[in-house]
Amino acid sequence: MPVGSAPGLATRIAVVALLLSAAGAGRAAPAGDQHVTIDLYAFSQGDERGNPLKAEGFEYGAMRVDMKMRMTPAVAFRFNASVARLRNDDPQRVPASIENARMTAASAEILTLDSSIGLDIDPKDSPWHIRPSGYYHHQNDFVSSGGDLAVEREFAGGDTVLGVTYSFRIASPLLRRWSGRNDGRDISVANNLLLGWTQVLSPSWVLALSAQVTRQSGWLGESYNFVALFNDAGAPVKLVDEVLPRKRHRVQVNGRLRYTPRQGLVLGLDASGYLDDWSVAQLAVEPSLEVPLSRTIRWRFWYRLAWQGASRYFDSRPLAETRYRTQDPDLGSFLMHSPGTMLTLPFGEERIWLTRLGLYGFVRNDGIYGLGADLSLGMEW
Amino acid sequence: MGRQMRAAAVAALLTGAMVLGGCQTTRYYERARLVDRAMDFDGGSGLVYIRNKIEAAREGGFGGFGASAAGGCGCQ
Repeated sequence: MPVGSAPGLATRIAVVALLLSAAGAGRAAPAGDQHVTIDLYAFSQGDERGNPLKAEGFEYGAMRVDMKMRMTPAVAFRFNASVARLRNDDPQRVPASIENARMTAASAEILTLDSSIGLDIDPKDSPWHIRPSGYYHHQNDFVSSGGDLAVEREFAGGDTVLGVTYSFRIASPLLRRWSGRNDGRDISVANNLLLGWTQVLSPSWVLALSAQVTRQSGWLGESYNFVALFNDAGAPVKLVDEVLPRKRHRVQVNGRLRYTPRQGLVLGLDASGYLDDWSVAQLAVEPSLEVPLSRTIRWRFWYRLAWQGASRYFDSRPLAETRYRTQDPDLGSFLMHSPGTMLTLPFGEERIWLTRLGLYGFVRNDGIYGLGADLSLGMEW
Repeated sequence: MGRQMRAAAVAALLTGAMVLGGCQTTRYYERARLVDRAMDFDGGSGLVYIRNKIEAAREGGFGGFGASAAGGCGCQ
């Protein structure tokens, strides 16, 4: 491929940017190499059932800044930070048959900070791309930090990209229990390895495959979670702490396919399979469609269908305490439908002003549902 | 379970890379459709961020299709 010519080089950079986005690098659309974007999020979760003794609804609002600035032709600086406010629903009143509790709830209001800072290192005339980054999360009872290192290599003039990403997190949760008891600080550690292969199959088809493994250790539960014990008549009689193993090994494989029969029209199909040693299994598929409303305006639709099989530690109606136990609906069995749509409105040529409006939601067959919106304003150049 | 699946995943990736990695499938002038904004797999990093938050928190699996799953946020 004649990469020396200016149009050829620009196209190659754009294709590689597209391929790297498939591997989870989180890149923006390849139209601009540098960008500043502000996202405003609103999300509301409702709770018709889930764990019937726990209030699982909440309201979430956040603002996120994301930027990438090129410092030299070979090095770009990346930064993003989001500040969020999460307000839990009012405490759930538990039945009078329970002897040791009357109310159950997490903190009513939580403020969180998520941030990461990193570099994109793209040596001139080299097929290698290196992306180190650091991560920090802070909220009242939970601090987490870590790092990511992604290394990718192009083959066949950029039609093939192989990549590996290693991520490390260490967190320090403060264990305030549902009963008001404070068990002090614990620690949790996660190591994640992601292998990715993205392949341009033709001028119309792109395929991305990836596999990832995670090993987690330390505190892996939610400190506010409890388990209700039931009597033979089916009435809840006592609340006890949730107890989960201090190790978890997880593996997931992903496949993503895109077909573009003409400019701006894209049909997509994503699929994933997940398994871990808590016996949680999951299969998900997500068909998507993006249609051009004009030369530059795009409208995307997607629908994610996910089936999950419960952890062996999940029991909605236990009669006695077991060594490991949970009633967290997120570790139970469910079918989850997640539709969404996003309108993308770019203006300008050299400097592109970009507006995106997204609407998304989910409904689970265990009675938990959510609805959210994202307004994104940015500039690419 | 984990070791066999990991080995199978690595073998599949390496085999595929060997088979297809050496073949250039497009020329630069054939890539106009591929570099359209619509071909971005995830529709921008802002949407990726909030979807990962929601799906990873509400599912026992990782949520998403290939984003790093080291996690780090213990909130909902």
